[in-house]
Amino acid sequence: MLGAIYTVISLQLLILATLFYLVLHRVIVRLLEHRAERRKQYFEPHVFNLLNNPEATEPLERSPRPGDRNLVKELLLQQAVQLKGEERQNMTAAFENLGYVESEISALHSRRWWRRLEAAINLGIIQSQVAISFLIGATKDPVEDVRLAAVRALGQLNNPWGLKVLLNAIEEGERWTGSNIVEVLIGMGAMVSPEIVSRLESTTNVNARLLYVRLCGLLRIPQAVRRLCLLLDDADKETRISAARALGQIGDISAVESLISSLDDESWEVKAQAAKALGALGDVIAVEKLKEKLSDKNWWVRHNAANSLYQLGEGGVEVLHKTSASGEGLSSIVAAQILAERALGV
Amino acid sequence: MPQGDGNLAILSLNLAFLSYFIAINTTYFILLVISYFSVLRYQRRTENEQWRRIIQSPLTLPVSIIAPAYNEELTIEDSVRSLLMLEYPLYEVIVVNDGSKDKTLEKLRTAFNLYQIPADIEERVPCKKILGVYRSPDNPNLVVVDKINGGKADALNAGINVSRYPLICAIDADSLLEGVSLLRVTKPFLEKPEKMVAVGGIVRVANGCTIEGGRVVRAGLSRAWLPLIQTVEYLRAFLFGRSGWSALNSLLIISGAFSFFRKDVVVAVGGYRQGSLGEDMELVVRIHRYLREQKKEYEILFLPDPICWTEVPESLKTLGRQRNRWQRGLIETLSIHRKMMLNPKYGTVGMFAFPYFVFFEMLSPLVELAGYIVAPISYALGMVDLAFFGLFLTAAILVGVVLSTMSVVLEEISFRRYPGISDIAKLVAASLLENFGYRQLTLLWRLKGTWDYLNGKTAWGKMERKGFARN
Repeated sequence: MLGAIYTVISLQLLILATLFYLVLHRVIVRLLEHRAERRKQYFEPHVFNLLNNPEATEPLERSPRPGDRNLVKELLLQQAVQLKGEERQNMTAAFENLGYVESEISALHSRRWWRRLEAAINLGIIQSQVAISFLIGATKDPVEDVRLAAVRALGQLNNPWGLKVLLNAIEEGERWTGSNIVEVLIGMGAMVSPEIVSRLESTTNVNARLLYVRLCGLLRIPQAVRRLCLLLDDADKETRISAARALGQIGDISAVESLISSLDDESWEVKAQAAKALGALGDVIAVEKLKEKLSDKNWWVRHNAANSLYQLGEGGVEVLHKTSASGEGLSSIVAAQILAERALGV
Repeated sequence: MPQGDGNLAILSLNLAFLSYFIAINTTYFILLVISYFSVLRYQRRTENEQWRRIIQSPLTLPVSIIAPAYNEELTIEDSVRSLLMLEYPLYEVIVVNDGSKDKTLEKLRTAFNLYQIPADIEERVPCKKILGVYRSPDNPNLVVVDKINGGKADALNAGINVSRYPLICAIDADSLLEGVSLLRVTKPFLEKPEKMVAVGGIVRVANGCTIEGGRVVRAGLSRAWLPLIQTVEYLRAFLFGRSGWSALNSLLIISGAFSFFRKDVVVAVGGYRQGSLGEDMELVVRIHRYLREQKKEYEILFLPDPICWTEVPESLKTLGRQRNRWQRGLIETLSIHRKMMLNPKYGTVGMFAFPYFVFFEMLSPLVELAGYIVAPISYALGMVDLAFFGLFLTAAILVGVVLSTMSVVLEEISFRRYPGISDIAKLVAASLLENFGYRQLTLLWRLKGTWDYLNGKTAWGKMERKGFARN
């Protein structure tokens, strides 16, 4: 009985304490937000000043109030993500002069994983070359989010060291999410092309090769076309699909014959990608074979063939009109659908 | 039966109720603790996320949003406009008019300048006959499908058949998505393209919010008590229920109001079950079952942040119908997949989540009813002291209030969507109020649902909408 009374009293107290906590928390959060807003207004002109003169850090350094250092960092980061060119470089110098690079590097060793994550993200935005070796170290962090943030930061720094780390990460496979690295490498642009073509030729790792194929397409590397055409006959279906897609993205007309052959692949996914790629390449030599694929039993093959015929211009559109008017099976419906959609501009 | 045996039976029942009470609340508290860490971890992972990166990434997967609509003439235009304004690089909106008897299709045709086009449709999953496909020159990513009525699951299947993209997002046509919801919810698919098969987001109550042009511009709480209590219910169900199960990769339900799936997986399991009363839960359980039987590694995730706003019933009649259907849907799904119950082959899903749903969700109305019957009998037989009984009842209510209040705490320390200080007081008050009347009504509706299921009632029941414009 006494136990039950205690339980009820404890529960009531817990509810009251929770209510008190909720209200207090909300009030404190509001007050802090108001204060932060006021302080930001004070700091903003000084932060803008740094865009032209990264040495003018003195007004930002002398504030004695707690929390101001973080506020200034927040303001600088907000500016940095929007800037390019000389102002961007000035901003990086300002981060260095104010000691933020040093503090973020030191935070890469924090015991709290979320602080390490934040530091890696911030160093990517700050873009100070000083941080490179530390970010490379962070690519071995036990927490995947931190590793990925470090990888992204290295990508943002466009540094050859970073490129090597990223490409090695692709070969490591399991430990990494391939798509994230691909995304970072795309962000690095043309500088990565020669190394990727070279690795595409030499790698024996099937998963890594698949990622290189995707990269060749996404970065539109024409030097890879010959190798990609050969990969259209690879034993691995995923590689054939990705090679066909990449050839469409690159848009090099020398791949047309190989892609036409892929329209007879045993896999519908490869056929569908080849059909799509032929539309992007724009060579009317593909019209006859694409016409044949309008009656393929797979929906994607039919649709991609019809779309590509439309993309190929007059000759392809004429085929679509004739097929639509014929009223024969699925090919006439798909031809009519694509013509109607294009007429509506969808 | 001799009196001694009768007393023993009543005493055993009382002990069983006490054990049930302790077991269910212990489970809730464990889920609460898991959810707390899970929500905080999610928040820490995403607070510095640059969503623009996902918009710009060439690897971001395109999405087909499927919105089944049945007699939605009041809300359909706003809902579709809201869907067409989402921030996402490539997506299509497929509205499936499931044989509406009102002017849903006419409203869409007029509002979006629709034209019927010939359509080659692949039947990937079974659905009733599609009468027409409409496109809009003004909104190239809008597709409207008109079909013979076949229910929500059937309409979703029709949408899957018409869809072109590898990810499908099923939403209710009367729901509103936040601008960046798609970006947030597709991130796990980008990070783990091979493993991630389904992701669900939080559904919040739109009643009381300020809505302009199909968007929630200010989150607020309804002045009416019924939607207010449902707001707390939704917070509790999503923030600590689903977050907790998701952390254990044993999420059995992703709300049909906002759910994301990899299309190839949905097609592989045969799509939504036609005529199902709880098609959302049934599909998720079937995916678990299929992938566990195939011994494939996979993840089904709940994210507490991507937000879908939905209008909840404001009348007891409509709410009663909804809860009745939810209970029937729950029993139906658990009956279909009863093979998974306590079956180690299905891992944590079979050993923990499934039994939880059977004992603490499906059977809880029956246990509660039995408790209401046995308590006065126990008192009449002099087996329970009135003061003790009163204290036990108070403790039971307070535990419920604590759990609801904790979900408000979780909301406060994480997302703080309701801006006013008075909002907190209202939510806590609703946590308390729901125990007096509302909880008992829910019990009755769920009991009626159980009864109706056992009698083979399969109708969905009419849902009445006010429409967002009148909020």
